[in-house]
Parts: sequence; structure tokens; C-alpha cells
Amino acid sequence: MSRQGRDVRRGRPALLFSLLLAAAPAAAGDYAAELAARARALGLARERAWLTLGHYTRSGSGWESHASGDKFFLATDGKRDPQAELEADLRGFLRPPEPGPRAHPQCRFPARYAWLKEKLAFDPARLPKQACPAFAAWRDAMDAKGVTLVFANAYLNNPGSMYGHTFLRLPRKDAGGGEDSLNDYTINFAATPDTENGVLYALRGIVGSFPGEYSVMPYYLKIQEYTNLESRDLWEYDLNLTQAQADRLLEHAWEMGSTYFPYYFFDENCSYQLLTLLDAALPDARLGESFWATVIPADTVRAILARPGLVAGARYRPSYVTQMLARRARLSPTERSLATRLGRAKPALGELAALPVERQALVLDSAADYLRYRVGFSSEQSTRTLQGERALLVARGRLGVPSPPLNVDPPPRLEEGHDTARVSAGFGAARSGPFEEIGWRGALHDLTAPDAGYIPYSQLEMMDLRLRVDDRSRKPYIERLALVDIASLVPWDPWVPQISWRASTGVDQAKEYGCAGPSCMYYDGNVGGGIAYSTSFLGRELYYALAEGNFGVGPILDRTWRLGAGASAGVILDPLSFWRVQCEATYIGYGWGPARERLRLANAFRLSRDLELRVTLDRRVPEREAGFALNVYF
Amino acid sequence: MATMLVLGSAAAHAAGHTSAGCGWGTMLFDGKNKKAHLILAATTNGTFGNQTFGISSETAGCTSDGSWVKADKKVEAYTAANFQRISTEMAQGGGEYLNGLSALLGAKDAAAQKAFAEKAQKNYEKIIPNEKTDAVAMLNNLRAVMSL
Repeated sequence: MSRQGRDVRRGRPALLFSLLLAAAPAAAGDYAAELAARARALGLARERAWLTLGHYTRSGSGWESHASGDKFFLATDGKRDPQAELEADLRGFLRPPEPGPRAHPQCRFPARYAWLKEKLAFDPARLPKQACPAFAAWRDAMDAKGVTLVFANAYLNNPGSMYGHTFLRLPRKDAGGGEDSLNDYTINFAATPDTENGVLYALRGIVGSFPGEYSVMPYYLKIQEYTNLESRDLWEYDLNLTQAQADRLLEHAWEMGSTYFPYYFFDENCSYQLLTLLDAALPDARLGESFWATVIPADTVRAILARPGLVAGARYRPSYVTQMLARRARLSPTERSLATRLGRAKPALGELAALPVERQALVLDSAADYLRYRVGFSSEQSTRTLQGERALLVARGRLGVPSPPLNVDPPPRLEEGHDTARVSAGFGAARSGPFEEIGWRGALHDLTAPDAGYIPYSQLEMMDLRLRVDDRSRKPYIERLALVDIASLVPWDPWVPQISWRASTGVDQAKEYGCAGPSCMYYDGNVGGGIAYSTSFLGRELYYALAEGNFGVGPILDRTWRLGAGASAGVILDPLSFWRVQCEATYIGYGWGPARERLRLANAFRLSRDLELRVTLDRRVPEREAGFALNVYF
Repeated sequence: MATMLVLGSAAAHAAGHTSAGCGWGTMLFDGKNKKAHLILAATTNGTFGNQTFGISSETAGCTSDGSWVKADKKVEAYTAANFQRISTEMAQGGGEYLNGLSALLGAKDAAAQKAFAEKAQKNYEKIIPNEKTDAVAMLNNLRAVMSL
């Protein structure tokens, strides 16, 4: 077939040309019809594997594919008709070769080809296999012997990233017995955010205004991005796939590159795309169908971990900052002070000599960690910085001893954290009498909840709705509707100086006016920034103080709006592993109307991973209330 | 959640996609992915754009004729991207980035990587003679020291 193709292009004699035109398509057409009939008889277009490869989901009484590019389909109505697409693909596979490295359907859709070939037992004499040099080169460069799912936890001080991120690493066949995973390739589907601002990131993520892109790149570049530049810890989960399953995944990844998928933060995000890729390898696992798992990457990982036998092993890969702080923790106070001065390029090398060689090595390693973190990872540095760094490294090299491996204790594993959606029911007593409450929260985690499996002292709440009924109103009203409520309290560290901040917006009750109920609702916005500090008397404690700005709009307010400023201070304690206490005092004065004076004490008791009891005392002058609530995460 | 889904769908952008050359790995380096460029710039400045030794689509991913990277270019791309980490780990007598480099240069098993790291530490000042040493010079010096 390939010779015929070349002959046609070279324009051989007219007789031969017309003979070929007449004969080849007719024979191909017959075989295509025969295969299509067999496919229909077998009902292949309705099989899970086919629907997965085409990214079809139910749409009304029919089907619709999530793929948006027309290059993904050969049939005119392929986006909506799995049967028509299957038959068009069969005809395509029979086409003579065409110029261009990816033009032939067999080469564009290697996973579809492999699956249909297996199901219909193609006759190689009538449906010859085309050479696909471009795909083969790509596949050989990937050299995948398996698949590892990588989960990136949140950025330091950026709770907007608490959803996490997932991508795939492909362990290579040619890796030896040594350490060599940095040279593996990764497959990544991600929004391309153009903002570093946590608030903007979260808000723009909701409306999906980031474009989504696929990329293949070496793992070391992902490591640079996540563990160095963004200070995110990674978890690696080796998946139990056979070589054939890994090959199928790679073939399908190639197909997905021929189209594009819009990036929807809340459903068709990186997690969804990777699950559908895994579905190509494991069609019966039907990972892409679990709705909740496709929304939030952390839930995706939990869903995959919940499948028996799918995950062969897990590894923790601490970020640069985590490693730096773990190494520093091994230093004595004197050594730490020395490492700090060396890391700030102060001349203190002379003081090292008094220490044993192993301690000198540890101090120098720690100082080099700090110096590089302090100046940033760009290689564009002042000569003075480079000279300072070189002085440390030369001194370190001359010691002639290797650094002991830095085994960082992994934090509680992701799967120990509660699920991300929540419903709650509660009751309590306010100044006006008893009340009952139900609540629902879209996502994700708040400061009062014990934070195993989450970034400590980070909060990202979206769509948190609490409806209340009391004796006065007799009708349910919105006690609170937080569209977004973000907080990041980062303990101050001289090596990692980070401010703490929070921001929230949504519907609230203007209790300063001594009211409650529907007429008391107003719209509130709040931002704050300050500092946090941690100690470890009772395990761990965090103290924080934030300066805050606040605005409100609503008929209850004097002049229907208000603007104010003030401060909050609080403490978060974990007396026991399952019990967290948060206590916070707030004062905000407004240009007019009553000030906000609030003292709140909240307790969370973790009864099981996804069940939690809350006991809250809330004094918001002149109102006060006490409440119990049961939270169920799902 | 339903509200958010509607919001998300209504305003989401569709990302275009190029499928030229040897596949979709190309798009990372075709100038559209700002973040990737930022990372490359952050980690390889100084050697970035150098005619003999830049990270470009030829060294990091896809070649213009549609085939994938050759092994020797892989070493150069890796060294440029990880220069600072490699340099530090040479002084420390070992580490993951140094192992990644020695593996590319043929030290595939743990014993060979350890020997490589010891030799690199012993010859640190030959491999990186001063603070101006860049990734190209370091790799040349390293090859000389290791007799590669």
C-alpha cells in the first residue's frame, strides 16, 4: 500500500494511475463495509472502551464528546455519534498513506487502531499496518514501562492552590538500578495561570478564565517548578499497570494531543483529564465517572487509592523549603546561628574549624540551602552572591565527606484528610432563643478543622451555606453564605519570612445591629494581613494577629453601606490529635454605625475521618450564642 | 456546586493546540507556554539562547524535523536546567540531581553513581574553577575529569 501511495504522488503513467484509483478504493470500501457490519453486530460503538477513547458521555438521549477539536474526529458528526466515528475510523485506517508525519488515521489514532484491531482481528493483507515514524519516535523517547500518578500539594502561603494538582510521570525502561527518575517524562494537563496573586488565582479559577494545555516535559522541569519555585511537596503513587496497559495509555495520550479540551476548573480540570487517560488503560475501572473524584485533584487521588490493587506504592518528595527546614532542625542553636550568618554571606568560615568534620558538613549544607533560597533559584545572580555561594561550596567540597541522606519524615498522608464537600446539621441558643441550622459547603477545609492531610493553618472555603430557623423568624434564612473564604496563617520563620493573610466575601448577618433573620442580612467583604507565630508547648500552637479592612452593603446598615478597619487576633491549639480549638477576638470600627466586637471560641472534635463535632461559643456584641453542629464530609 | 459548574462552563476559555512536528510536546517550547519559559529562564539564564548550548525545542523536546532528542543533547539540556543543584551536590559528594547527570553519562547503577559523586567532590575546584563557570564549561571540565 505504501508503494502505491508513493507512485500516485510521483504521477506514474495515467493508465496505472486510473487503475489504482478504481481498484484500491473499491477493495478498501468492501473491507470497510465488512468490518463496519461486524462492529455493528458486536455493538462495539457502545462498548465502554470505545466511549472512553472518544471521551463520550451521555447527553440527553444520545452522546457527546468532551473533546473540542475537529481533528479528533473523522466523521462529520463524530462528536455526537460514536457509531459513525467508529465506521469513519475504519475507512480511515484503510486509506493509502498520505504525506505528512501524522496524517494517516492509523498514526493519528493509535489507541483506537489497536483496540479495533484486537476486537475485529484485522486482516493484515487487506488492512496493512502503516508505518508511523513520528509516533514511534515519540513513544520510544517516553520509553515508559509504567505510570506513576504525582500529586502536588498546595503552594506555601497560597490556599487558592489547595485543590492540588495531578500529573503523570512515566518511569523509563532504560533506567538502571541507580537513582534516575528526574530524567523520566511527565504528561501534564494544566491551566496556565498568569497571576501569582492567591485571591485572583482562586477567583479566576472559579470562572475558568485560564486556558488549559497539555504538555510533555522531563520530570526535572516539573520538580524545578513545584518543589523549588513553588515550595510544594509531592506525593508519588506507582500504579499497578501492565506494559500493555501503559502502552495503551501512551497511545491515547498521543491521540489527545491532536485535539484540545477546554479547562474547566470545576469539572474538566487536570484531574478529570488524567482520569480519562487512565480510563483508556483501564476501561473497566471507570475512574472518570466518579463525579466528585473528578472535581478536586486531592479527591481523585483518594478515589484511586480506594481502588484495591491499583496503587503499588507511595513516595513522599519534600519541597526545597521542607528539606531546608528539616536539615536546619538537626543543628544545635550555635550551629544554626553560624549557618544563618554563612547563608547571609557573612564572613564566618573561620568559626567552623572548631566543629567535627560531620558537623561542619551539616552547617555548610544548611547554609548553602539557605543562601540559595534567600536569593532565589534564578541563575542570574550578582557576582557577590555567586562568590559567597562558591566559598561555601569550596569549603564543603574540601571536607571530602558525603552528606548523609536527608530523610524527611512524611506529613500525614493525603488520604488521612477528610473529603472536601461537607453537609452539617446543628442547633443552639442565641439571645433571641433557640435555633436550628443546616449547612452545605462545596469545598474544602477551614482553620478550625483538624488538618491531617492538609497544609497546616490554611483555609479554602467555597460556597459555604448555612440556613437557620429560630423562634423569631419561623422561616429559614441565610445565616452565612461564604462565596470564598481564604486564610493562610504561616508561622513566621527568619529563613522563610512570610506574611499571613485572609480574604472573604459573602452574605452575613449584621449582628452589631442587635438583629437576626432575613432583614438582618447584608453583603460583606473582608481582607486582612499580618503575622503568625508558632510554639510547641502542647504539641503545637499558632498565634496570629491581622490588620483588617471591611466593607458591607445592605438595607440594615446605616446609609445602606459601611466601611471600616480594625484587627483580629487569635490562637489555634491542638490539645489532642482529634481536638482543635480556635479562639479569636475581633474589633472593627466603621465610619458610622455600631462597631464589630466579636469573641469566638470554636472546638472541633474529629470523630472519624469524615465525621466531626463542632462546639462553638460566639459573642458578637450585643448578640451571643452557643451552638453544636455535626459535620459530615463526603 | 451546580452554580459553580455553570459559571465555570460559561466563562471557560478553550485552549488552541498545535500538532506540528513530532507531537504535542512541541507546544511547551513554541513560545506559548509562558510558565515553562519562566522556569527555563529561571533555571538556565546565562546559557539560555546560547547557540551552542541553549535549551530550545531541539534540546529539551522535539527537533524541527519531527524526531525526538538525541542522547547527547539530553545531557546538555539536563545540565543547563539543573546547573545550580548539580554544582551544590558535587561539593556535597552526592545527591539526586548529580545522580540524574551521572546516569545520563552512563553511571546506571548505585555503585557507579557513588563512585562518580566521590570523584566529582574530590575534583570540585577543577570542575568548577570559579564563580563564573557556566553549565557548558562545567560539563566540559567534568568530562575531562571523568575521562569521558
